[in-house]
Amino acid sequence: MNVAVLAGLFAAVALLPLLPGLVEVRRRADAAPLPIEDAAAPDPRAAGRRLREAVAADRALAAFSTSGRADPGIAARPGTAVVDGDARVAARAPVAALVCDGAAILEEGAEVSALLDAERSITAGRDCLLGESAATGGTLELGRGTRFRRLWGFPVVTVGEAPAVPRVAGPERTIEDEVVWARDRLSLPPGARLDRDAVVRGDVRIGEGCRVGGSVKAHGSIEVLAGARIEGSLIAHRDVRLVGEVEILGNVFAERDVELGPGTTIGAQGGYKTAFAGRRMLLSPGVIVFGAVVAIRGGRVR
Amino acid sequence: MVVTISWAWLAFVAVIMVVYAVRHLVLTGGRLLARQRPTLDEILDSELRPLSVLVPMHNEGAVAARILDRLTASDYPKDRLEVVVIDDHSDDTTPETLSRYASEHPFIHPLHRRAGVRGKPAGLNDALAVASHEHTLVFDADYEPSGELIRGLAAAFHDPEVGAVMGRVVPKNTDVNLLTRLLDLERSGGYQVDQQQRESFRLVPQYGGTVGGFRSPIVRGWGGFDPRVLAEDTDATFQLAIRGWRIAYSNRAECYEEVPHTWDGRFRQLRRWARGHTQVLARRVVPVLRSRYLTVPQKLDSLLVLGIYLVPPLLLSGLVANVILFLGGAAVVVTTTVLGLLVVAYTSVGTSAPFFQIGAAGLIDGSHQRLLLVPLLTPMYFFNTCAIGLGFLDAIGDYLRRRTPAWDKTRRLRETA
Repeated sequence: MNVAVLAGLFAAVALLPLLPGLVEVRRRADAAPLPIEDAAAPDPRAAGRRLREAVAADRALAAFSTSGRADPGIAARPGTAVVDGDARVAARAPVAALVCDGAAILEEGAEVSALLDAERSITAGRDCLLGESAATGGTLELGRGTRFRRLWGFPVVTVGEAPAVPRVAGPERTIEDEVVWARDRLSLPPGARLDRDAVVRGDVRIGEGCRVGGSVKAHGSIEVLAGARIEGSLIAHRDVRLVGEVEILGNVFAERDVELGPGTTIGAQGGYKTAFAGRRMLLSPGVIVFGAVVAIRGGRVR
Repeated sequence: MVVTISWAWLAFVAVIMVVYAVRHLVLTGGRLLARQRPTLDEILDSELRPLSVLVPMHNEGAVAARILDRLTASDYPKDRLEVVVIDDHSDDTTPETLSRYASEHPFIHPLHRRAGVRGKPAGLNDALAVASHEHTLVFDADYEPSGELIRGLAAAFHDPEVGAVMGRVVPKNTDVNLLTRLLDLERSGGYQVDQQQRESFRLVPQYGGTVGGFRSPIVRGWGGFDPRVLAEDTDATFQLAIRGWRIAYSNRAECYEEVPHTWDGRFRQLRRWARGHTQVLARRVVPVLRSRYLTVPQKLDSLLVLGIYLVPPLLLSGLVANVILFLGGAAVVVTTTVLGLLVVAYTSVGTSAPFFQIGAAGLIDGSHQRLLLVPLLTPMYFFNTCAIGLGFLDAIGDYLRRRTPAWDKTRRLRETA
């Protein structure tokens, strides 16, 4: 009898951890498949469109919307602004979100903390804040000292005269069939030509006036000197530094910081590419990016 | 002598178990606490690369239309897409379905195989011979790929070091029965934590062959998939890694699949996986250790991944050693007590380590209720041990008899409905 009781007790204790699961099997409270985000192509302007729709549907939000040409009026009241035409945010004025159908102009020090979306163009003066995302169907012009996280424009440009970057052009050399994979570091001498992809376990330095016909991947950092042209993408586990007057036809992706020097161009007219920094990004005057600029921990215009 | 060997073997098994437990815990801790590296699917690029999509099918009449509907409905530009659907000796409605879709959509090309070896590796090789693009994606017939998924997988190829990419598999038929719910938990832990953290730690994530892709010239370069290997995906993973190519895992490239819904189907699937995996272990363990491209942590993790299906047979052999020690009178009271405490410690931290992965995955996915089922995985552990043990013996039999294993397709829910 005692043995039977003990055995029963043992079975009860052993089954105890299974009880919640058995209850869940019966109740099926969480039996549906995990949701998968099955969206169409990522659209950097989706947030702006959603805000327009939300304002159209919600009267409380509509109270913040403005028709016609908006002047510093919208800047006097921090909040959400949806404007039918052009919009202007006064100097050092704060706005949470601004969506307009025309051109958006931010005067010096204006701050958009969350979202900025303009149909025609965006012009940000000196030391503006572009919050989480700024996107436009046209040119996105950034003044010096402007801070940002995600930008989208055709193109994204930094204003100011690009300082001249000294260049030393050398004779064109071909290193095809010599270095594709390197264990330590790769340094292309000035004027060198590499006609295919390169994968390097260390740092990469691409000399002045070099031509790279493919993409470059570095487990360390990548530095590209003046006058170089990369037809593929640059991908680095650490930093990417483009000294200036560099032309990248592909994407730039760094898990850490990105620095785009004066006169740098990423992408080309008619398409879009991405400049991505896993941490911070620093843009110099005279930078042009056709497409997206993303800095996860924030970016700044020098 | 026998007692000494038993002690030594028991100690060896214990060390191996501890190593695996530590691996599980490190991956889980890393997934929960460490910063995840940004991945290339952040890139927006107007130049979408041309892709060949291969879909192997053997008697997939129940699901063929669904995946073709998904591919035709995807917003990936059709002039950049070539879908090669491999009709591998089907004798159901699959050929008619493929012909109908091919007549309506010029980018769909059926490949009817009626001769040669049947099986996924052989089918993929034939498809690779006709596929015209450098980058190839592969989906199993029961998967449901979207345009976003295709873009997400293809983004990995921006990196010239990436030889293959794998997406996340999410079971769709979770609400069918207890088995499908438990398999859902296993998949969550395997992908959301194990694969993702191997990616984040720059180890060697596994190319799973069901929702992923690779650079065709590399695979063609080593002669294609070996039809004698049941786990052609695992074999491809290590062939790539040995040659210095990286395997990328994209956690955001998610795709629904249908998991086995019968215990018999699951048993056969697991037995086949263990058999194929053991084949790969025998072939690739030395090249992995000798590869000059793999780092020490990558080699260590690759060894543990290659040997993962040896764990159940090892545990069984440890039990046998225990019994021998007991019968030989070696397990006296003190040592038995110490061993007992070690067993308790191991079952708390070691055996349960995969469960920690599943728990972490549930937390990250924001799906908490289903975690109540985790204790029910304990009986399943013994079920898995039996299937894997038999698969291991199959592999030994294959080796001894110089036998080529036959392909055994997992039956779909819709086939049996």
